[in-house]
This record gives sequence, structure tokens and C-alpha cells, in this order.
Amino acid sequence: MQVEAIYRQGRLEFIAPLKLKHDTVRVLVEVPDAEIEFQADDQGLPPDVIARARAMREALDAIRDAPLPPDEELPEPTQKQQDRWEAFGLRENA
Amino acid sequence: MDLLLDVNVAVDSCVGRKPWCQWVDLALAKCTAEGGRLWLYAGSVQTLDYVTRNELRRTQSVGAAPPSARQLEARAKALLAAFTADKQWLAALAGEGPVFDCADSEDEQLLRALDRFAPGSIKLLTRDERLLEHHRDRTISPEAYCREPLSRRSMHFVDLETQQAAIRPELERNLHRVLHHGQYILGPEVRELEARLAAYTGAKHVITVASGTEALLISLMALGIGPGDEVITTPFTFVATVEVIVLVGATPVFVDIDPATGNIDAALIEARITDKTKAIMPVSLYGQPADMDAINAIAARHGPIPVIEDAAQSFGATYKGKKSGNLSTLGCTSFFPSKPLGCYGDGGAIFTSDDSLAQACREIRVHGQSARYVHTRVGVGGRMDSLQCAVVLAKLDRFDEEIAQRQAVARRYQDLLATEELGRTRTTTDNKNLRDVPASSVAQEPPHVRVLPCSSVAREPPHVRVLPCSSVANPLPWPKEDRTSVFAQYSLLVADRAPLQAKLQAAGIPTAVHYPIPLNEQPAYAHLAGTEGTPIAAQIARQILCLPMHADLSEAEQRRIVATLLDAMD
Repeated sequence: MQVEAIYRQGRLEFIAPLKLKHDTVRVLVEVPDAEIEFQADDQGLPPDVIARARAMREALDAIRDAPLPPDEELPEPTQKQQDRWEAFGLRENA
Repeated sequence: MDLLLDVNVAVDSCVGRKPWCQWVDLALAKCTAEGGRLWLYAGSVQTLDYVTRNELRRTQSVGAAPPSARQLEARAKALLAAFTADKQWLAALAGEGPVFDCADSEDEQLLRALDRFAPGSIKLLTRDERLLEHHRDRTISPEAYCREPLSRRSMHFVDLETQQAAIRPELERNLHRVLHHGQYILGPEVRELEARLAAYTGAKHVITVASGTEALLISLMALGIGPGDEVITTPFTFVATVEVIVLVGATPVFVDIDPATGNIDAALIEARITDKTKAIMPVSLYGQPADMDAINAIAARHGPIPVIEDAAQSFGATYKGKKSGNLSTLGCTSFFPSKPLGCYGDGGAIFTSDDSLAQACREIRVHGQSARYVHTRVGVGGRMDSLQCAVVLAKLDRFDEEIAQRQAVARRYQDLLATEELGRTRTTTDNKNLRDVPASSVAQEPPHVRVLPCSSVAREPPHVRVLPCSSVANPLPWPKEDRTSVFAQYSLLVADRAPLQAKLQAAGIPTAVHYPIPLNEQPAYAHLAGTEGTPIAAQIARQILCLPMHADLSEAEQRRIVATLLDAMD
């Protein structure tokens, strides 16, 4: 049978309540092409590799997107650090 | 295969730079799943820091309140700390410094760093088109890497790679210290290691030597053992134990072994003592100390006769609360790389609390020299060098943790074998004792309470947990209650060993046989064996099989080993 579901953050949720016999059931899902940003498992990589990559991405994105601490709570960069950054910038723009 | 990460791919993943991060994430996950290591070049830290911060500035400066320089710096550091936590740092070496005549100094450093690895064992993961085009055999893009077939690392019998990854900072620091101070012989690392091993074992004196064999040889020489003397020992051990007895001109007297441990049977020793017996040399096989109290008591009744414990496999184990190596007149160990505490070459140590024996050992290891160019006795060139001591020092801090891991691995083997045996026995035999026990209870039970009633081994002390049963593989019993084992080996008794080994090998599971022929049956020593046979040693030599054993063996690997083993025996 075909049922309608909503994909939300890695999980499928059935719109109408549906009780299945087993905890794990293989299903086929139709995903709108416009929603696909990247399709990794086309490369034949096993699920554990894809899951590992996803977990790493989520962990790093969580750090990247966490609220920033107030500026005044952070140490001021030393003159030496600032000089180094400037030097790198010059090199990059050369 | 390992991957060395170019800065561009590292930053892609670190900050989630689209669209590249998706391929990079998969490539990193694939490499890890294959058992490969992900390396970052230590010399690239500043570039990593700068590019990460710059990328964050570019992507996060959109909006009402763009982050300040301090906030960007804090975020970049947090991301880099998280990203690098499971990566290996590849030290920048002197040969990678002078790159000023190269078009891109950082790229050149990375390419030179690849030369340290075995050919084909590593590639530079990059999306730099110039590198990919000019160094096709040494570089690979994340996408191309993901498209290559997955190839999981073969199983190791002893995994020194993973251990090295855990100690790399201490290891490299220690080795570089030796290179810088230049005291390669009897340098400060030798003194430090001897002091730390003395504290670890409780022995008054520790003398590091060139190998485990040298430790045994020097011990015999220090005791003055020579032609006409007899040394009682086991036939079921590595050849070095007997080799050194013959080398000093003495005669080995072989005493059969206890089938429950593989160690010399203390109850059989006394009958073999003569007035020529000048030492007893038990071996604490597979990591479990021999019956040292009984042996020491016999030795005390007859002289006393010195006892030399060959603790080459058991260093770190305990016997009634005391450390192996410090259980008798002299103790000897080996730091051979595959030993529980190993160096990266040959090394060993002698332990004693006897001042005069310690002095003799120290002199013998330096050509019998009591003072500069004063040779008061015959000696050997038997020192352990500073570099090897530096390696052992790097491992010593986590040695007890590794012993606990080894013991957990051994326990898991016992339980997995028992569980598998139970499941199979329920359907193949009518053994009521087993049929009445639910399978789930086996793995949960404490290790000391369960005695299953079947084993092909001749004798089983009643207090020893005997698991599993003889219808499948039959591991040696769990160590006796008054001692611990460091499980230098995890050993089974099996019938029809050769085809079984072949099947395991075909499934990618390495095994070993320690030891296939008792020493009293070896061509070089058979003429010294006398008429007394050692039937238990002969039987166990035909049946013994050692499974992969190291501190980092995973439960998944062990499940595969046990399942393959039992399938192969069906």
C-alpha cells in the first residue's frame, strides 16, 4: 500500500497512524527531485559510511551554528597574532 | 589506505563548505570504515587556522550582526579542535623545511611527507586541480576516492598501528629527545625506564638488556651456571629459554606442563632435581604466571636453588598481588614488539632484589666490565639502547589500561565461544546441563561462578571456569583465581588444526601456533631430552591455536572470528 509521510531531520513520520509488525521495515520512498541536494548512496557506499559522514556533519554544523559568546568574554588577540593574520592575508591576495 | 588531508579539503569539512563538504565527509568516513588513518600535516596548522577563520568570515558575515574578529577566532578554534580530534598529526620533519625554491611551499611539504609512507599506502586527498593533474599517482580527489571500491583493512593478529596512534605524541617526543641529547647507549631513558620498571614491579633492581633472550642468558651467567650443571625448565615455550641453557654449557631438564595453563607442572619438578640442578626456569606462558609459590618452595627445600621466571609473555600480570618478574630470584622479560609491553626492535629486562646478582648482571651486559676497561668477568654486549627505552617509556603510561583491555577482549572471547557453543549444542546434542541453561544467561554471568562439565583437557581444577565445551573450540581455562593474565596470547585447543587455520586464513583471520613442537623434540635439543617424555606438552603442541589478540580488538571483529571459527569446525 502507499502511505503519505513527512521527512523531518532524517526520520519519516506517517501522517495517518500506522502500526507495523516489525521494528525495522524496508520501504520505498518517493522524494521530489527538487528536494535532493546531494545523493550519496548512489556511489555504492555502505550505510555505515553514510551514517558516519552524516554524524560528523551534524556535529561540526552544530558547533558552527551555535550561538556566539559575547565579544567581551573572549580574549583579545595579541599583536603577534594580528600581524600573522595580516601576513596570511597579504599572501592570499598576492 | 591512509589519507593525508590537504588544507582545502580539511576546511571544506571543518566549516561545511558546500558543495565540496559532502564528498569530503564521505571520503573521510570511507577511509575510517576501511581502517585507514586520516593525517593532518602539523606544519599546516597556521594555514588551517587562517583559512577556516576566513571561510567563517565569508559565510557568517551575512546578516544583522556579523561576528567580530574574536568571535571568528573562537569559532574557528572550536571547529578545528572538533575536526582534528580523531585525526593523526603528521610531524613536519627537517627535510620538509627547505622548500623555498618550489612553486608552492606547502604543497611541496605535503608531497615530501608522503615519501615517509610505504608506496601505495597513502594518498594526498585534495581538490587542487594542479596537484591532481601533476601527481596523479600520489593524490586523489574526494569524489574519486569515494568511487573506488570499499576495501576494509585486513585483520591484524597484533595491532601495533592503532596502539602507535594512541601514543604518537609521547613516542615522537621521546625519540626526538634521544636524537637531540645523543646519549644513545645507557642514556637518561635507560635509567628512567629502569627506575619506572622497578617501581612498577616492586623489584629492587632492574637491568635493561638487549633482548628477552639476553636477559635469560645474562641471568644464567650471573648465577655462574655452566658445563655439568642442570637447569629444570618447560619444553613448551619459545626456544630462547632452552637455547641459553645450552649456550652456557648446561643441560636442560624438561618437565611436563599443566594442561590447564601450559605452564610447567610444579608437582613434577621435585622428582627431577639432582645434585647438579643449579636453577629452575619456569615460563609464565601466554601471559599467566606459573605456580611460583610451589616452585619457590621446592627450590628452597633443595639448596636453595635459584629460580628464574621467564616473564617474557607475562610482564604486567600479577600473582597473589605481586607483579610477574618479581616473583623469584631473578625475573626476565622481553620487549619484543608483539609483546604486551614492547619496543620497536629488541629489548628486555632483568628483575631482582639480590644486590650481588644485580651487580653481576650490570657488569655482564657491558662485557663483564666493573670499571672502564676493567673486565672482571666474561660478559656480553647486551645493553638496551636509549631509543628502544624511549619507546617503552612512551607505552608505559597506558600499559595498565591496555592490560585491562586485553583482559576484556579475552573475557569476550570466552563468552562468545560459550554462547555460540550453547546455541549449537542445543540443537546438536542432548547434553541436559547445557540445554537447561538459557543462552542469554551465559554472557551475563560473572566470570568465576560457572563450570560447564565438558573439556578435552585432562585435568580441570574445580574452581576454574571451564568454557566452552570440547565439541567446538576449547580455550585454555580462565586464569587461576590467585593470579591475573595479560593475555599475551588467547589460546584454544582444537583438533585437526591445519585445515582450520587454512579456513580462517582464507576468511582473512590470522592465527598463530605457539608452539607446534615441544623443545625436547626439536632437532637441536632432542639429544638432551633424556628418556622422560612430556606427553601433555606433545598433545597440546598438536592442538594449540592462538587467535588474534590485542588491546584494540573490537567486539565486531571478535564476533566475526568466533563465528568463522565455529563455522569452519562444522
